[in-house]
Amino acid sequence: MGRVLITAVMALTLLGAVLSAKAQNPFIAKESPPEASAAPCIPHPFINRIGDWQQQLNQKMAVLTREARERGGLRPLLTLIAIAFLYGVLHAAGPGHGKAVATSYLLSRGRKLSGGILLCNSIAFFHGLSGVVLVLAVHFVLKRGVTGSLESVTRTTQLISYSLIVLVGAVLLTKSLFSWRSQPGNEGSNQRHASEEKKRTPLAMALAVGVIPCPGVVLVMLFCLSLNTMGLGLLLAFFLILGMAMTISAIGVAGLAGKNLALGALERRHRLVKIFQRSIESAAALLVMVLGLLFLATTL
Amino acid sequence: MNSRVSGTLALAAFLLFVSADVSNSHPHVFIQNSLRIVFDQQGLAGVRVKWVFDEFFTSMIADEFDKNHNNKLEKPEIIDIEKGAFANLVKFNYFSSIKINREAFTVEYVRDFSASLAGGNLIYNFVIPCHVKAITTFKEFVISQYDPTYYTRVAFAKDRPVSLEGAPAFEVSYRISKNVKEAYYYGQVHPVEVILKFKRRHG
Repeated sequence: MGRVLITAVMALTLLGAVLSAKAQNPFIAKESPPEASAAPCIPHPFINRIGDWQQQLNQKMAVLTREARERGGLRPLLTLIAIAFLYGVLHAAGPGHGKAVATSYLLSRGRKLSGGILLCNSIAFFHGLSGVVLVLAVHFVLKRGVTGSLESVTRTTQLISYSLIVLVGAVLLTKSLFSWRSQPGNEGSNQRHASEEKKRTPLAMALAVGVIPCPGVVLVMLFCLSLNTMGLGLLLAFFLILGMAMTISAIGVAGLAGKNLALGALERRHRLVKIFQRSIESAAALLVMVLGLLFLATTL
Repeated sequence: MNSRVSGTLALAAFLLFVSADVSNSHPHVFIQNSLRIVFDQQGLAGVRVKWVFDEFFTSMIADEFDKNHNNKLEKPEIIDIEKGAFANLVKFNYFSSIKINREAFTVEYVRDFSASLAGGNLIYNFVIPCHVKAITTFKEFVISQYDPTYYTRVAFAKDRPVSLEGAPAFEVSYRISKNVKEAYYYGQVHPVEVILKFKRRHG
């Protein structure tokens, strides 16, 4: 029963992630559009509303940015910051922000929430930073338009990112499979080594997932550069990233909490917990790898 | 397995499902579209499309294509925009889905593309040629515009989303409604359609 559910969970997460992998700009992308969907119609009740909200926030953000630039003053600035944050929260609810990979990764690792939050925040940070760096580099160093560069940089970073994800997945899976064989007595001696490693791998994972520049941040930065207000652009990008970090963390933590709840319920049967935990972790590690491969396949 | 475990697993499944599901709402570009449905002497002749883009996408396109940065698009710049940020939409049938008497009509080409900048917004205008002869009984013409990838969110403009041109010789009625029998983006969003009926007036 448990495994069936876990498999179902994984399949659904996988589906969500694969669907989201195709998020190329249709105005310039070289790729063909997806085939018309033969999937059953299960419209998401909130999708349209979230889209509406985003559209309204998007308009408001543009108007307020102009206002803040032209008139100055603290009030439009504070409203603007709040809107940028909210926009980030909604924006990260979309595909391409590594939530499926992050959740699978967290499921394959330990049970600490703090580690999960750190990972998710780092993903958002790298994802946004990559967008900021791209815009500044293309604008000030190459002095070119960003449209074409965004397309090619996105593709290159996607290839790097997905290859890294496959690699991390493979390492996790190998470790997870080895842990099935290790005896309970050996665990203590490996602990220090393992805890050191746990500090390093989340950052590698966050870098792997977050290296692709975030189009949302790119657009906001470009808009502010067109108004000659780079400082405002950086400020908005920062709050957008903060908003995204919140959504990604919430989803990652929800996944981890789900795992902990399930394991907690089994707590009294110690042996079962171990088997169960390892099953989840191996399956999730496999999933990280498979997701990376699937992303790679859609990009190549 | 006891019921508590199943319960918590179901909860975990639900949370993950929600996370996978929500992950599909992701517009980056926003378009407000309005459609002008054009008639000639024979009947329906086509649709004049106007797309008004959000200011962020506008600044990206202007940054790349408004070479002299005068906030105006001149002829050579418009030609570049058509090549660099419009022609590719042929793969997406220009985000347009049309049905004539319930049969699909594929939009393979458009005419008269132009682009302009107004009030901080990029505007695209183009015409979808589509001739449907009017007879003395009603024919039905249905059009909806959406990006199947949802990278772009296309929504009808609040002010005059649909208008008619050259229609006095015909009896025409239309309404805008959501088609709940169809859905795009992996079955998650319903298209909003203009359903137009027209016939030749008697005498």
